[in-house]
Amino acid sequence: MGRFLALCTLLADVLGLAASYVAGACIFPAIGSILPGWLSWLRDLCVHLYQAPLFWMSLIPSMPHALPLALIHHPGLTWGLVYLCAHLWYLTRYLWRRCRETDLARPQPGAPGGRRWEIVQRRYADFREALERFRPEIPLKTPPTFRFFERKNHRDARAELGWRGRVLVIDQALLSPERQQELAPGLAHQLAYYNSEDLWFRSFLNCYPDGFLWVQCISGICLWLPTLVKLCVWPTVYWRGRVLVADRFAYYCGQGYLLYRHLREQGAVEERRSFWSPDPLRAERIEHLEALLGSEFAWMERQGIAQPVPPLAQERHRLKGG
Amino acid sequence: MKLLRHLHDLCKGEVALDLHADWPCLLVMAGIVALTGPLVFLACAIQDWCAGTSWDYEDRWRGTRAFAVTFLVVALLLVLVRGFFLQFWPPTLSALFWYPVFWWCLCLLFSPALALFMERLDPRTRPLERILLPAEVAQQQTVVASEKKMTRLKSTRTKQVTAQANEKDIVPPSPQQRKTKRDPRPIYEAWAVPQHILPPAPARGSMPSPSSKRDRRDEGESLADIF
Repeated sequence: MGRFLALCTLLADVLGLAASYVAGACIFPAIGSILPGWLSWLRDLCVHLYQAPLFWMSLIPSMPHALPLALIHHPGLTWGLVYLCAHLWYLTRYLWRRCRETDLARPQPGAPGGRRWEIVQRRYADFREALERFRPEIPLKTPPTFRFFERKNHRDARAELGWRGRVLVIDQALLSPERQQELAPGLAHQLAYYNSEDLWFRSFLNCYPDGFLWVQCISGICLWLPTLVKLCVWPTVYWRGRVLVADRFAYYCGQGYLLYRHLREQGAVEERRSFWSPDPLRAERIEHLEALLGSEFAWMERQGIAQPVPPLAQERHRLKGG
Repeated sequence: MKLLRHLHDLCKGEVALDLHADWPCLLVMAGIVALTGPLVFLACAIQDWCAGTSWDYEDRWRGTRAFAVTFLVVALLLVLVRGFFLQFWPPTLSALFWYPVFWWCLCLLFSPALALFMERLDPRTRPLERILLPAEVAQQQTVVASEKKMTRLKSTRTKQVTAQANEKDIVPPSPQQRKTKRDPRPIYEAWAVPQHILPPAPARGSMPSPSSKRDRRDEGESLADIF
């Protein structure tokens, strides 16, 4: 589905370019023509501000003269060019952020490697072991390496587990031996994105702005159109469902119960979600995991391999019920 | 159906080509390629790609369905307003060469729809199935053996009771239907044991459990503790 949505985003992008062209070619001249006479100075100022840089541009010897002239006669082209430049800026910014690793440390691979490296590799081995209980086989793709970071203060809003491009980024605290129960389900959940096309689609969407800028809206640079699709449509249409799919993958990796318990522990916190949030409600995730775990348990009961009920638990349950 | 499956296998290279046996297939294939270009190959590739993942195939098929609908609408538009598009046709391009190319490109728009159709006729997507692991098979055999033992014991006892009842002319109670005892725990508690791969996190300052090797490796603070 990610590929189709990427195509839709590209279509929205082309629409944004066309809308920018129309804004420059028709809308702003039309606004200029309907201005009252006492505001004619404003129109002249705008025309001057628009034409002056183009005039100076035409004085550059290496610049072909046709370009500034074309831009003067067809202001829509200018808007289109500005749109493309804005796009290029966001793309460069994303690539720069992705490549910048000033705050990230590398683990030491090897056999055996560093402590953190070994902890993560052991989790991968656990996942592979758990995936063997399903046929056809689920090949687990794991990132060749990862990075970890140290949270300086509480204001650091980075997620404990996440991706920067195709690099897995983990909070150093999560790699401590005491927090393995939190690392394992989170890691399995994140690996679902790596094993599907979601990571690629997310990287693609990251080339677009992360929010709306009022300058873009009033200047007629319609980059807000693909941004609108990215921030308001895909989270509700696509990403919410993908979180549930990633939970299912975590369950396949044998982390269903831990994830379930982790989510239940968070249940005490009041749950709030914005309308455009990409996350499903926690109750929904818990329900989904309950169904998965329950189905497998029922299957195990039918096969006669479900764990026998310890007498103590049975007694406690009876007492609770009574 | 058989032909379609064989064609697909031939395209994929899963079946070795036998010219004597496969010539009707090859003939059909040549005809289809001449008519529609690489449409069939692309459809086969799409079907294989969608069926290639056993856990995320639903999303892939959903995407293929969305592509199919979109491309069908595009193809319909191209056919309906062909006059509008033909006016942009470059006059320098010779019709004899370019029209077939254009036709093949148009046919490619139907590849997702054809992939869906082929999946309907010859499903290649296999949903996940839970299988018994070797340890679980051993456990199952143990359970079955113990159940057999219990049944044998029960039947011996029943025979003894019947014999005693016959002796005393008392009608024996009718054997009640055996019911499987349902696990009384809530599902998340009951499931804790098989899913629980990692050991529970120890409280700070407490000693690690000496019984678990993995436990000890994970909880070590120094390199000497880990290895």
